[in-house]
Amino acid sequence: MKESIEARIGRYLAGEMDEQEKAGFQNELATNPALETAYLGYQRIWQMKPNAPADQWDQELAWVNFEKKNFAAPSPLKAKRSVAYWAIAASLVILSGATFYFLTLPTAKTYLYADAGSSAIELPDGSKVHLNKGSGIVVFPFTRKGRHVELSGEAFFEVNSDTQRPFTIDCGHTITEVVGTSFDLRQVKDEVLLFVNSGKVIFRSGDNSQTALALTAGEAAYFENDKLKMVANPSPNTLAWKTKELQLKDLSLPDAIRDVSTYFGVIITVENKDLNACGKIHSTLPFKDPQVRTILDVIARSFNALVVEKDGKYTIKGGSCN
Amino acid sequence: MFRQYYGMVCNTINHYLRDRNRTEDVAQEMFAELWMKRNQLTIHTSVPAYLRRMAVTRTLNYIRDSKKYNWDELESPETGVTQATVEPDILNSIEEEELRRKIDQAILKLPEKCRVVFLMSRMEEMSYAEIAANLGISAKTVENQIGKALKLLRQQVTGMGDKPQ
Repeated sequence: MKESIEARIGRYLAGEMDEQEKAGFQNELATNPALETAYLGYQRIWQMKPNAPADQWDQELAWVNFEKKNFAAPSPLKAKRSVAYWAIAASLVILSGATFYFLTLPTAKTYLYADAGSSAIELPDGSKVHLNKGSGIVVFPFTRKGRHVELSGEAFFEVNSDTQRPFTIDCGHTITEVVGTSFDLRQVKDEVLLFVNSGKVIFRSGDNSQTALALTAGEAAYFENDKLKMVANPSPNTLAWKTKELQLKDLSLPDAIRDVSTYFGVIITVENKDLNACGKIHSTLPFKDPQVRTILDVIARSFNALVVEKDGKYTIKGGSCN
Repeated sequence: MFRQYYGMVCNTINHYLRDRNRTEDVAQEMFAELWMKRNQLTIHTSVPAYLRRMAVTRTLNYIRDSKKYNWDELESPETGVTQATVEPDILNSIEEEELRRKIDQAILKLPEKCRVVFLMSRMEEMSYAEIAANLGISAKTVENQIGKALKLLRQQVTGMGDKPQ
């Protein structure tokens, strides 16, 4: 089966020829003016990068159809619709690196994590919200009776005191209620963790408001499998994502590994399981803006172990309690 | 988000499909998939670039899975031309902008398979092997379709030669 001349030129233009064939083809080009003419024409065509046609599309109608198909279920939670608007946008935009701020419905404002250097979001009452990576918040208009927001992901709140207007946060299946305080709220899938930095906070399950915990500074609680539980010893590193400061003091190895792993978003394995039962780490100084390798070396050294990195995953090898 | 990028996504898909109804179906499915996966998404490029890439992938999957495209019954390659027909130098005299416009139009008139393969090569910069793998056809078929596309495009642009088959 003979190859057509166009197919052959096409293969040359597409870079599908090996060196030897290419040389042969170039040689032929130089000696065959007819082939050269044809080639030059095709080369011009080839070099024009095609543009997609710019047609008109009815995005409003398409959106209505999309809504019907994807959000058809009746929404049990109030304002779910606005979250739907927000969430699809958020999920796409959050990590794109650009700063986004836009209106979803005329009633609520949505803020998304922009970048590590961005400042806190200031709410209409002067309260501040620091969003962690990949997080977003919907702020409903504050009324005379209350202040309400919805959080997805993690944020640190500094809520200005206003006893007349409680401040509530919907997050996962929980509702957190405060008057004036600072605290961290983190949602990972169906789990929600609350850490209170100052003041007092009421932590409730969203489906069953009978279940509630009252927390004060230094206390933490989490919501999992429809249950609220106090965290016995909250990690000193709960706010590390915001303060950029990690501490190892008085942490057991598993706790230290958990915090370091969360902070850097890396996988860390401890090979020698005996180390998990060792005493606490005695390194006292906090690490300001730490490097993962530095921290792991310090941890490993306290157990005479070694750190090995492979493909971005870290393993702590060997070591003993001592 | 949906509203902002819907048109761009549709234009990308329609470049391949040339069928408004099917294009909107594929676009709807794509946005629904995005919506379902919203919690697992990490976008490292720009949003439009990501959506464009996804639109192309969905379109190619659609083409691959669609019965409408019967890649098996492929016409034999163009009759074995060994000697290029010497044409007057029309092609080289066309202005850049004019040629671009003509080619964009001519691409839309290419037979379906021809257009798909040509766009995959030029727009997505896929190799013959990649195109073949994505569509479940042979590299030889890709080669023939590219050759055919080039030939038809030239005929269209210069307004010469036989009518496209």
